Amino acid sequence: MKLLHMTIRAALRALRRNKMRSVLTMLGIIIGVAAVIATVSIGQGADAAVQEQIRSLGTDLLMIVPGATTASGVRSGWGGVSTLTVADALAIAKDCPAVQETSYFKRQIVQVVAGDKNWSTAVQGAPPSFFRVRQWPVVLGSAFTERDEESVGRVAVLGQTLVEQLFGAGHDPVGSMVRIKNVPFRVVGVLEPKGQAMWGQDQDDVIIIPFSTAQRRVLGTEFLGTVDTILVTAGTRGDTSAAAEQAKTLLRQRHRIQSDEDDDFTVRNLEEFARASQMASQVMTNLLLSVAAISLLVGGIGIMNILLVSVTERTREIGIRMAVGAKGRHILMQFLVEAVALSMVGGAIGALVGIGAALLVSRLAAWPTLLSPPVVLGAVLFSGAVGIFFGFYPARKAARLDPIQALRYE
Amino acid sequence: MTADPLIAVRDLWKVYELGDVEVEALRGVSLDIARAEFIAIMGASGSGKSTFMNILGCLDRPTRGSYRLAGADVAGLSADARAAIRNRQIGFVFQNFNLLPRTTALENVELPLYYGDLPLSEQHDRARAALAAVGLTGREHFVPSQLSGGQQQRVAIARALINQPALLLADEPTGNLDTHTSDEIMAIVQHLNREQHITVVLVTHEADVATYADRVITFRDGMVVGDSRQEARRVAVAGARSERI
Repeated sequence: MKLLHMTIRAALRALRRNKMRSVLTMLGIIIGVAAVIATVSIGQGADAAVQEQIRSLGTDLLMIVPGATTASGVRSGWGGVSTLTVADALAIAKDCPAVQETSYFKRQIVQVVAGDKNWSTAVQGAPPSFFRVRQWPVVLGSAFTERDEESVGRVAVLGQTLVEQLFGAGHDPVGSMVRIKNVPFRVVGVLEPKGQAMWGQDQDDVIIIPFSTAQRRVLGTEFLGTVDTILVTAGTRGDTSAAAEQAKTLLRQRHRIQSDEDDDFTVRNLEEFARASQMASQVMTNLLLSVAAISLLVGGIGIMNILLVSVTERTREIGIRMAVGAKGRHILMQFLVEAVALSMVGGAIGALVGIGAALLVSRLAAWPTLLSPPVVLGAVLFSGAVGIFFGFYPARKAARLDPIQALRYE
Repeated sequence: MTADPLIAVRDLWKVYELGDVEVEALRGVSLDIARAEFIAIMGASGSGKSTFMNILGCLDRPTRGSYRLAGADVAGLSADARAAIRNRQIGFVFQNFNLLPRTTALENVELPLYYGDLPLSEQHDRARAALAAVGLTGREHFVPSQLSGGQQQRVAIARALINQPALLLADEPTGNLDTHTSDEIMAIVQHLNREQHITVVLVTHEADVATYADRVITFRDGMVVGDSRQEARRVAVAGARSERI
């Protein structure tokens, strides 16, 4: 215990004696640890954001949109041609065993007016089932009902962003009137905020009205019964790929597509979408982590290098210590403690720099970051391990010196 | 003098292999040194006296032969066991002082205690007392570069004696000092021998320094060629400062 105390004191003094050299030696470890902590924080932040988006969309949700994306020759982008109908949506719900429920909507960007304010937003005509399928509860007021749908009711449910733009944040708009293309609508509810979609769109910038009303009064009647998107939920078992497969087969039948022709629609599995985006962030994190690991390795080699120099410089000191009774393991400990002190102090500084960098990134670039204490602790401890690993060789070299030669060393 | 000598070496050989040439540094040295003796070892460089000192000091092992220190065979001990003996039973004083640079006198004196069992609290007290005994009170926190050669050697003597060893090995302790300072250092060494009965083995090639000893052993070509007792030159201890060593 006494010896350990003395050894640590001697090691810290030796490092203080060569301040500049110690700091430069630590630099590799500092950069390595800082990089690890910053990347892991940013990576975990990105992961958490993706998870949040998945939750906000509902992972068992499939979106079916018109248009081909895989055929050669002339193609229209998805959503470009209205090939999907309300009947398609109902048929999928009825005939596909893996499907629990379907919904659908038509969507258009329109200027919405309330009092003296107006705002360009997405008007979505959808049946009441939309709120269930999309797992999007109404937090103020209530959603419109089947009766509104049947009676072509002029009622609307507003997204949070639209409420802020038209009525101001915190204001309860239920009961107020808004005008869409000069048609007055009564606000009956406000949707729960959902935030950004994976593709960066503000999901709360929306107004939802009954599908029938949208068709007849707002969005035009030229393709009566067509929809922009069919939403499909896979049910409690959540087998989205089976649901996707069944819906695809059924739609090909209904659209009379020959076996050598491409689909005139695209099924998008949001779970796959989420997984892909998660994978991308994972790949990025791994890449940065390996760069950070290399920096730690280089830092360790730097420590080894400096300790070897130090052992040579202090050969006489080692000889003196041995002459007065230091055993090999005392000398070994002394240099190992120096190595660990170098790397751990470097690790601690690196941790502070890394945390600072992560905070700075989330502040400046508005990237989400997530600091995790186990990672910070782990990085510092790992740098200590680097010190032991790379300090061992120089320390052993010192411990194995011959006391007579060490004493004579000039 | 007791019948049981402190040091008993028998037919001691040390052979170095330099490439394919064998160098015989010691060729069958046999010697007894009694407790409380003051011995000077003389000889030209290359005579084997330094090799002999290294073996006596347990810094090195003989190739052949036996070495008993205080009755125990130490010739074949492991490096760790020899380190423990150096720590407790032997004190070293070197020509170039061999103090740790940029380290205070107090900490230099404490150094052997780091590797012993003495509690930390007693360490400082004992080191202070040792420094006082060599007349360096008030210089505890000086580093070697702030001390004169004589003062540095006195710090080294305090360090050598901190664990109250039976044997003090001095390798040319006055080699780097002027005549006056040499006398001071030799006075301290002689005082230690006379008053505290510490066995002193001193290596020197200065005949003048050897006159302080009771017995002069001469080495040549790895063998003892002379062993004579003499009436040691007495020196007055300067002041009372080495009184309590």
